[in-house]
Amino acid sequence: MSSTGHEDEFRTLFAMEAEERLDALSSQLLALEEVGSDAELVAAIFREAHTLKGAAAVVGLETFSEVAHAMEDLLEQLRSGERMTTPALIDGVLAAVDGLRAMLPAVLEGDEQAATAAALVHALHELAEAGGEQSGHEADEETSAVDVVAPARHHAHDAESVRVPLTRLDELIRLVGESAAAHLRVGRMIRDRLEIDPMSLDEVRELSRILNELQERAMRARMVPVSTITDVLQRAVREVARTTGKDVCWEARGEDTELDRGVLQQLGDPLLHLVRNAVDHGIESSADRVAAGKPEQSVVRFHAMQLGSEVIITVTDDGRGIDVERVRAEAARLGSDASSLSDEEALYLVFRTGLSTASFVSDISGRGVGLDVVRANVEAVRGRVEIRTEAGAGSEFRVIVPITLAVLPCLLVEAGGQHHAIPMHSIVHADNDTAEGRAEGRPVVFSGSHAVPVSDLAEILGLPSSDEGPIVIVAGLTRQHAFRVRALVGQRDVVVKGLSRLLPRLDVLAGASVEPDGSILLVLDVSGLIDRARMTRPRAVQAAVAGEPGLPQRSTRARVLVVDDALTVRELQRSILERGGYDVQTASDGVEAMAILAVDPVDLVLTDVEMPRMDGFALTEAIRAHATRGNVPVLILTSRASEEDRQRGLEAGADGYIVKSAFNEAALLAAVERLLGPSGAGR
Amino acid sequence: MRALLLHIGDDTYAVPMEQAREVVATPVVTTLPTAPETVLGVCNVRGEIIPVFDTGALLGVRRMTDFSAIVVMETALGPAGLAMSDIGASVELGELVADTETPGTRGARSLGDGIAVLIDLESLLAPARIA
Repeated sequence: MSSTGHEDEFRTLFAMEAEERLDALSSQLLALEEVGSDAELVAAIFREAHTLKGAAAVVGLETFSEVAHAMEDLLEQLRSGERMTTPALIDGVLAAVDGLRAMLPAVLEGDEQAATAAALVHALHELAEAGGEQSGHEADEETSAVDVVAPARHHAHDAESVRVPLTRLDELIRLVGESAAAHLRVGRMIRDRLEIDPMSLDEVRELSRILNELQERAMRARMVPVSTITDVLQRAVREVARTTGKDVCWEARGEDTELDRGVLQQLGDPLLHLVRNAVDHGIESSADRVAAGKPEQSVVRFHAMQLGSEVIITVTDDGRGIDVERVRAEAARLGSDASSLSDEEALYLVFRTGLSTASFVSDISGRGVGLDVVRANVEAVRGRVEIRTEAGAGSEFRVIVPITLAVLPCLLVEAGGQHHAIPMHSIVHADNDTAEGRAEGRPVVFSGSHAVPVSDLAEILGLPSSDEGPIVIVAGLTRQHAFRVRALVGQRDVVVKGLSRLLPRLDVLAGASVEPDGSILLVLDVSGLIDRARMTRPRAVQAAVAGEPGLPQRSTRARVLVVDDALTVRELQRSILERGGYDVQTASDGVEAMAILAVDPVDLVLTDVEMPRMDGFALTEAIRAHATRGNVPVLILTSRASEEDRQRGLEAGADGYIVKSAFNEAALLAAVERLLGPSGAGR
Repeated sequence: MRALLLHIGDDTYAVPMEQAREVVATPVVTTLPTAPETVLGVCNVRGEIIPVFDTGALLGVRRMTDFSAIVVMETALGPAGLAMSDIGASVELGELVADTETPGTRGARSLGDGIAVLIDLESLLAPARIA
C-alpha cells in the first residue's frame, strides 16, 4: 500500500536532514582544511556522506544518492590514508556539497536533475582518479589562502530535540500573539463594564505574566545561532581570497549570538556580499600592503553581539578604506550634488542604487547583490547599516537588526487625531521640550551638534496639522529628521502585521496592528517618512547654524559621558541613563571623548572597549593621566568577558566593568549609582 | 448564479456569492496616509486587518465619500473589502443581457425587471486600477 502522502512526509524529513548534513559537511571540510589531517574528523566527514547517500536512497532520490556515493568514494581515499588533504580535494568536495544543496529543491519536487547529478559524479570521479600522485606538490602551493581563527564549533545534536517545520512554529507564535491581544481586550472589558482596574485582580496579573512568558518562550523557539551562516561566509572569504591571491585571516566572534531564523535568513545575502566586498575591495594586494607598511596578512573580522532587543553584526577589514571623494565624484557623475554633504553623509551614498565606484563593484562582489540591495534586505527586517571607514586603515559595516520581527517596540504618538507607532530602533530622541530654533527660515532642532529639520508629522501624513507639540527625532539610513507630534502617548511592544498585498506599496507605513479596543494602529516607516518629509518641504537645512543652540539650562544633575562607536548602543544607554535622572553626553570614540572632557565637566565616563582611533583602555589611561580630569570615574562596558580583559581595564584605571551580555537597565543604573550616588544627588 | 447585490449610488452591481465572505455594516475604517483615492483605508474584521476599497472610484463612476457597509471578498491575494452605499440582497442573477465596457465588470445580467452589472474582482482589484 503505497501512499504518496507518506512519501512526501518522508521527503520533507529528508529535506531537513539533508540540509543539516550538508551544513555539517561544509563546516567539517573547512575545519579539516584548517588542521590538515585529523583521522577522527575525516571519519566524521565520511560518515556524513555515507548517511546522506543511504537516506537519499531510502526516499527514492537516486540521483542525489549517486552523487553522495561518489563523494563517499572520494572520501574513502582520505579515510584509508591513500591520499592527503589538499585544497583541491576540499574544493572538489565542497563543490559537490554545494551542487547537492542546489539540486535538493528540484529533486524533492520530483525532478531528477540527472544532468547536474552526472556532472557532479563525473567531477568527483575525476578527482578520485587523479588520486595519489597529486597529493604532494599541490599542498605546498596553497597551504592556506585563509587562516582561520575561530572557536571550535560543536554541531551537537541533542538527542532530546525534535524537528518542527517553521510554519508550525509561526502558527504557534501567531496564536500566542492573538491570545495576548484577546487578553488585553478582556482587560478592557473588565474596566469598562465593572469599572475595576484589571491589573488589580490577581488572576488577570497572573494570566498576563504567563502570556508574556509564553510569548517569549515561543519566540525563543524560532531563534538560531549566527553560527548557522558563518560557515558560508568563511567559505566566501576563502574563495575570494584564493581567486584574488590575497592572504586573508578570517576571525569570527560571537557566533553563538541568537537571532530569529527569519531575520537571519534575510541577512545571509547581505552579509555574504559584505564579506566578499571586504576581501575583494577592502583588502589591498599583498604588494600594496607591504608598501604601505602593513602586515602582509590582512584580517576580515566578523563579530555578532546582542544588545538589548537588537543584534549587531559587524564586518570589519583592515584594508584601504572607502575613498569618500570617489563616492562623491561618482554621485556627481550620476547627477546628484553631494558637495554639501558631510563626509559621513556622503559615505552613505554607496547604498544608492546604481552608485558604483570602481572600488565597489567587480566580478566577485558585484555579482548578485549590490550595496543598495544590502541596504534593502537589512531594512526589510527593520534593521539598518552603519559604515565607518578610515583611509588606509580599513572599513567597518555594522548591520543592526531586531532579534525578532514578531513584536516591535514602538513609541506611540498622537498626530492629526490618530495614534501612530514609531519603531523605537529608529528613535534618536523624543521629549516634550526640545528647544526649537530656526535656520535658513525653517524650524530646526539640534541633535548633538547637527541641525535637524523639523516637519509636522500630521502634515506629512496629510492629516490636520498642529503648530505645537513634542518633537521626535528619528534616524533614517542616511540622515536624521525631526517630527512634531501632538502628544507622546507611550512606549509599547506592538505586534506588527504587514498590510494586504492588494494595496500598493506605501512608503510611509511599515505595517499595522490591531489595538486592544479593536481599532487599528498604523506603524510608520521612518525612512519612507523622512523621504516624504524632504520631498514635501523645500530643500532641507544642511548647514549648522553658528553658535550653540539653546541648550537646556545647566542642571545640578550628574553628567555622564557615554562613549561608544555604535549609535544604537549610545542611544540605548542615553535613554536608560536619562530615565534614571542623569544628564547624558555622547562621544563615538576615545578621541572625541577626550575633546569633550577638555571643555566640559563630566561626573562619570561610561565607555565601550573596542572603538576606532582610541579604544576604551586607552581612553581610561588618558583620563587617568589628565591634569584636571584625572579623577573622573570610568566604567567600562564591553562584550569582552575574559578575566584578562577585566584585569587590563582595572590596570588602566577603570572603576568598574560591566559585561554586555549581562547588560540591562537595572545593572547599568546600579553600577552608575554605585559610583555617583543616586541620580540627581550629585557627586 | 447566486450573487450579492451591491448598491453604489443609484446603480446596482453584483458580486458572485461564492467569493463573498461576509458583510460588515457601519465598519470603522482607518485611513491610510498617502494611499491612492481608490483605497479608503483598513478595517478590523475579527482581528484581521482588511483593506477597504472605494468601489465607485475603482469602477470610475463616483467617489464614495459616505458608505454604509462593506462586503468582504476573497481574492487570491487575500481578503478585500468593497465599500457599498447600501447593503443589497442575495439574489439569483439571470441571463447575460449586455456586454459591459466599464473596466472591472463582466457583463450586465437580468434581475427581475431590471439589470445588475456583474463585478469582475480580478480586474477590478488589479494593481493598475488601484494605484
